Amino acid sequence: MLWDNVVGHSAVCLSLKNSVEQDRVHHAYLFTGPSGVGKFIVARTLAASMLCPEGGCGECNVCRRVMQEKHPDVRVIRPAGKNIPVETVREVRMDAFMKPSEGARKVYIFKGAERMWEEGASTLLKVLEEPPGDVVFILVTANPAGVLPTIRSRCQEVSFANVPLEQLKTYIMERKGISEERADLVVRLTGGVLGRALDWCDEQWRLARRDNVIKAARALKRAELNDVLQMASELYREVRAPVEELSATYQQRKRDLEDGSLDAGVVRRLSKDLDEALSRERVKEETRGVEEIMTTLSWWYRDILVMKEGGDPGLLVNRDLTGEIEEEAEVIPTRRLLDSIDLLAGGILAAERNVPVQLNLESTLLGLQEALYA
Amino acid sequence: MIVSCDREKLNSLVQTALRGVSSRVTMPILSGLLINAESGELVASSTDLEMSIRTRVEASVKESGSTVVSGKLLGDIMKSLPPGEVTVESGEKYLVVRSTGGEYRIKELMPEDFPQIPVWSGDASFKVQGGSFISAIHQTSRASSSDEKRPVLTGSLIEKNLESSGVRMVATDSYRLAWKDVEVSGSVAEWEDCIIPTKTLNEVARLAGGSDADVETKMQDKQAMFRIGTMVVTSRLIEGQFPNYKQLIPKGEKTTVVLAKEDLVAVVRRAMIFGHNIRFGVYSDHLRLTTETPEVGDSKEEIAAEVSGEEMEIGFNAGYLLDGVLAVDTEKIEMRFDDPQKPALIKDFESEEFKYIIMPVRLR
Ligand SMILES: [Zn+2]
Repeated sequence: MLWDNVVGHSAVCLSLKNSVEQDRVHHAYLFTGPSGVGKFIVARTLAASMLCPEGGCGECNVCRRVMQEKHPDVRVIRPAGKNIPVETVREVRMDAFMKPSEGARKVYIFKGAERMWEEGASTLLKVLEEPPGDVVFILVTANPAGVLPTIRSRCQEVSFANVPLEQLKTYIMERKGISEERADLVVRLTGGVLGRALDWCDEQWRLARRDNVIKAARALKRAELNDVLQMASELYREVRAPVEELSATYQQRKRDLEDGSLDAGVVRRLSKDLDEALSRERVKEETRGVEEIMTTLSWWYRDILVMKEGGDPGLLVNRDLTGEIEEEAEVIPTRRLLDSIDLLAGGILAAERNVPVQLNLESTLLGLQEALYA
Repeated sequence: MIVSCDREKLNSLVQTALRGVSSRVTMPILSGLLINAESGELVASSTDLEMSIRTRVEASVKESGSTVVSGKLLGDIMKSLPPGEVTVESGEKYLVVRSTGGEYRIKELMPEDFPQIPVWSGDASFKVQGGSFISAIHQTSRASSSDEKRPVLTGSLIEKNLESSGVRMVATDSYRLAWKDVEVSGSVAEWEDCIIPTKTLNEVARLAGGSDADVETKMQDKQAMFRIGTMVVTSRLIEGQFPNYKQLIPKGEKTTVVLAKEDLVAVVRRAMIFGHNIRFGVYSDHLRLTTETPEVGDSKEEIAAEVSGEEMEIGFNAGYLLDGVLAVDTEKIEMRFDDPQKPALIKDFESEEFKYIIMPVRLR
């Protein structure tokens, strides 16, 4: 069963599963919770369980196509650029008034559902106010406050919490075949967000990057201006690397389209879609890279603070670096640590507001140097 | 799958199925044609998720099977092959087309990804003579809306009419409404009243065009199906409540006008050149149509007509008026009015089969 593949969220899954079995499915759901926690997987699983004759067996052609986004009665809507365009919402409304193609129901999953301008949101609201009989909307968002209250009030809200650390740890140990120590580290570093924890297991460089970031932070003490700028540009390269990798993946997907099974017109159109998706993903990955660097630094200073205040060593996130943490705790005053953590919060905000990455990194590192050692 | 068939027949099969492939689709699989070979038949299917086409031809099937390939590529090669027998064989990765001269390989897509298309089973619920079905679509579809804000109005209602044992086709965009009663053979009892996208009906009319074949119709798996010869067109239905059109029909008790359709068409066409809205004057023995566009020009034309009842002046959108007049199926046209502020009725002369209701516009 597909429900069994979902990690954590057992209460949420059980209640959704029951409502499908007892035919008490709502017209609209709002899935809320931190990004990467597994909302979208549950959304797809819910869709499959409604359409699959076996309630989401995970084996049949219906389940396969739903999970691969190939089923005509399940549509996933994502922001194009920053927002979900109003045209897309209009198309959905039109489509919602058509009976399903194959199954008994039609499902629309909106990712980043808060990212709609007023016109798009009010169009969606109109559909939610008088939903066609066999349609289910699943709005997925990490930021429910950004969703129009009138839309929210039409939805059954389902909130997703981070998977409990112990459960997540056991899961990634089994799934990824890694040691308990390592699983523990990954879970702590990713704050218990499932999607991120899995990424950290698959992408070894993320851990290497943490090491580099901390090394740079420790070197700030004795760095000249030029050294700091140099560090910033090295970190910038670290952020760029996965973005380049992403471009390569998309190039490959574009080449795959040209395997000859599709005619040139279709290939052109799909390539264009891929280009748009890539530019969207690039921005996202870049922002995420900066956020991760800033977060790594925040945890680092927080660990030093915990050590300094005589906290339980079990509370440390970078537990593998206890020696280094002790050394720093000896020399940096509490006030300065707190200022640094504040400053990093500002850096994360700047990343979300699309401040150029290199500029953001430079000013953060210089700011940290000032706050810690001036 | 190994199957052979005459090039001419194969090409027409593929070209027909291609009519169901949309250029706007987002799923790559929908640019493909599903090809099935089974029990002496080759079947080609296409869908854009709103409408699907399934068409078949007799063929010699040496090995049954199915595959999906790019519709455009298959169509292009079929069009260009020389006459004679063509063999089509699907292997692991490629569909191989062999003709006298050459061998052409088309990369296959995954048939499992292709959406399910309902297969016609059992008897039709009713049958309509092809020509009358096509003209009913032409007469009503212009009144349908293309505004996605009201999805229901982008469809046409097909409703059973138990009194006449026929069906009624109704379309409206809320500015005008067209209805047509269609005679059918067979029973309409099984038919479920439904709203079919007008776009699909227009396509059915195009596909049925040129042949005098009957159009057989039925409802299956919550979809409407139309069978024309060896081809089946399936349409998804629009959900929702169609406006209660019967309430809108004007009584038309105050004034009645009768005149030759062709004459009125010509006058309206000339008047349209000078304005979007027509001042439509009805007098004891003639009509006077005037239009104007300030600072551009104006028109005034009179035309004789049999008028009974009160004289009046009423405003119409010229395009909507023309659509209605053109849709009339008789040589003479009948118009009925109640009040300049109320909808007017345009209909076939001495017949109740076709009715067109048009809302008046305010005149300055
Ligand atoms: Zn299944």
